[in-house]
Amino acid sequence: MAADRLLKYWLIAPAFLVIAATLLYPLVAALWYSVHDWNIAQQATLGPFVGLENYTRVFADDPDFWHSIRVTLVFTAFSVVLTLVLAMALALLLTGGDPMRVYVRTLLVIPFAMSPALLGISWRFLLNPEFGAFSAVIGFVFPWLKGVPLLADPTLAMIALIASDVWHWTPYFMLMFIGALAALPQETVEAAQVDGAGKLRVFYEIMLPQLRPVLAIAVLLKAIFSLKVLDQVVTLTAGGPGTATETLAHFVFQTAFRWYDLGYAAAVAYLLAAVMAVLAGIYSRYVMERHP
Amino acid sequence: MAAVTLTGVEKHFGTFTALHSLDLTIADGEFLVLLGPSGCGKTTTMRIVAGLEEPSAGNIRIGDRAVNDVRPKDRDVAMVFQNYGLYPHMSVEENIAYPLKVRGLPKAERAARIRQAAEKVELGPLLDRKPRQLSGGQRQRVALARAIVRTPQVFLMDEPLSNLDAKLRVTMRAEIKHLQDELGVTTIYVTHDQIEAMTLADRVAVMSQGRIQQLGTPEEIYDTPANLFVAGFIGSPPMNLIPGEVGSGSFSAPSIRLDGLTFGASGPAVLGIRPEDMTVAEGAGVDMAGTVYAVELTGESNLVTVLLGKERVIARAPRSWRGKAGETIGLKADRSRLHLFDKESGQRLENPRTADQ
Repeated sequence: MAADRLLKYWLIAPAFLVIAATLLYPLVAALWYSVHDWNIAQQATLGPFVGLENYTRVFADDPDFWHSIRVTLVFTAFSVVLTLVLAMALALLLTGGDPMRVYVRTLLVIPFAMSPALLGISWRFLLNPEFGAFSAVIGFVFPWLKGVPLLADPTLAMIALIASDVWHWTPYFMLMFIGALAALPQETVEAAQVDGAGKLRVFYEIMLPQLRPVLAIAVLLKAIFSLKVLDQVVTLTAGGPGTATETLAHFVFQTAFRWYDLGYAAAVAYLLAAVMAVLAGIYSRYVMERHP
Repeated sequence: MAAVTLTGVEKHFGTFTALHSLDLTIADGEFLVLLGPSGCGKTTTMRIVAGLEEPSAGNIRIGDRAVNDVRPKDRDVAMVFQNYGLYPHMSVEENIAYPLKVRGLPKAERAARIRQAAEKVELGPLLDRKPRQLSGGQRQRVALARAIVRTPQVFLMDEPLSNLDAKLRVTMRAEIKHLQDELGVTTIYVTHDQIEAMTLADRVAVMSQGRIQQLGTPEEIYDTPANLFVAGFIGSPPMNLIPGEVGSGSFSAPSIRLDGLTFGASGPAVLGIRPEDMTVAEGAGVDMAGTVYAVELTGESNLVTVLLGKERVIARAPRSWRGKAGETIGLKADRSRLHLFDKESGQRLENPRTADQ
């Protein structure tokens, strides 16, 4: 009996060990670093304990941090809204089981199957002014735009970054919405049609309100994904030009691995993690409530 | 209010034919019931009238308007769905108001109409509730109120009572009948329940395999079923159908012989006798004898299942009658209520009335 009761712990032990090594250890270590002054360019071992100094520095005097917050918020706002609107539009178009729609749906999922780091690299090539496909196409339609270095302009670089992210995430949310649309009671839609509602009314007054729980989860999830965006930033714009696309995660990345200021980077990372933890908490509560 | 006319309406789903060239005219103010087993095409027919399904061929007219290319929202019909189709995020009042709201009726007028409709179906105190807070019967009433809140050309009801318990179904049936009488709106009602069909309908269209098998008043359908399908489908317990031979004034099957009938037909045929037209009898005038297989007391009478050779038939006996399984008893058939069908085609041959009628 006792052995039986222990068995379950043995069974989860490997998974727990993996998580401990990859998640818990870094989490605790980072917290420890965040209260020390440690620049690994200067010393290989942990520097002096400084208390909350790293945290106060974030709020008191670091315009770069605040700049990265603004960049992150702009990126998040646009990428969340555009991704979800586009995903819903595609879901409405592609819901249904006929072979053509299933085929198109499968094709559209490909962007989501790509690693975000690779995605950044391929978009970089795509947008290259000299030999990129984008320049070739746009140059064919509007010859005066041929060879415009898109990623060299702060606004255009941000737009490119948002576009690549929307391109990556739209399929995922499209599938989510297709599932939600299929679960919608068809009778309510038909009742509304017979009651005299046109297509737009049916969508806004009957379908959308019933999709609210799913939409709330989608907004929350996409916000979490956007707030922590890093891979494409590294490979597509490297935060540039200048610091135009320097998102918070990229700022942490730069601080830690370019300026080697590990203690400070850990403190900033912890602030980001705190925000994410709150959002994740709301998310899981929402999901749990819906599926008790 | 308006008549509804379907001409040559067909519906195919891939290679499956749900409706074979259907012709049907529903008179202005008529209560027509589409009756049949599941998959017979009755719901498809109704959905085609509503515009929720496009016919593969044929024409639909509501009043003097061809509505083939008219969208559901512009057909001016109201529909009650099997699962009610209430809007879960709206209150009862908003649900009932919705058809008026989308038509841009001013708020004051809306309120008056909602009150009227809610009163008709006795929903008054529930207007602020959400559908999920209501019982099945109450939801059904909301769906009805939403249908009658404006005066449409046609009411469409798709098995509206099938989700209610037996007792409530009887009450709601009477309410629907009363409402339709009062409002006089042309109504198409889909059901697989023959009792609903018989009690509600001005005319019943019995459907099977995408075809109307018979169209007529409940009496016609019951008294002169057009074919074996209708004969077997209508009536509970179902009509006894006995295959045999007919010729020169008599019907004979392995253990049955009925003489003194007048019909010209001869050859293989199926004789139909409803259980209530077969009584337990003794002595002279007994048409057939058999062994009691089972006796079921329904309350108002006894249902006696009798073995006639290999054939099993059901007869009705008075409630006071006491018989036991295994007993041999005599049965007498009401000669004026016999039905005869062609064995091959299943079509009704003629009413085999006795000579003296």
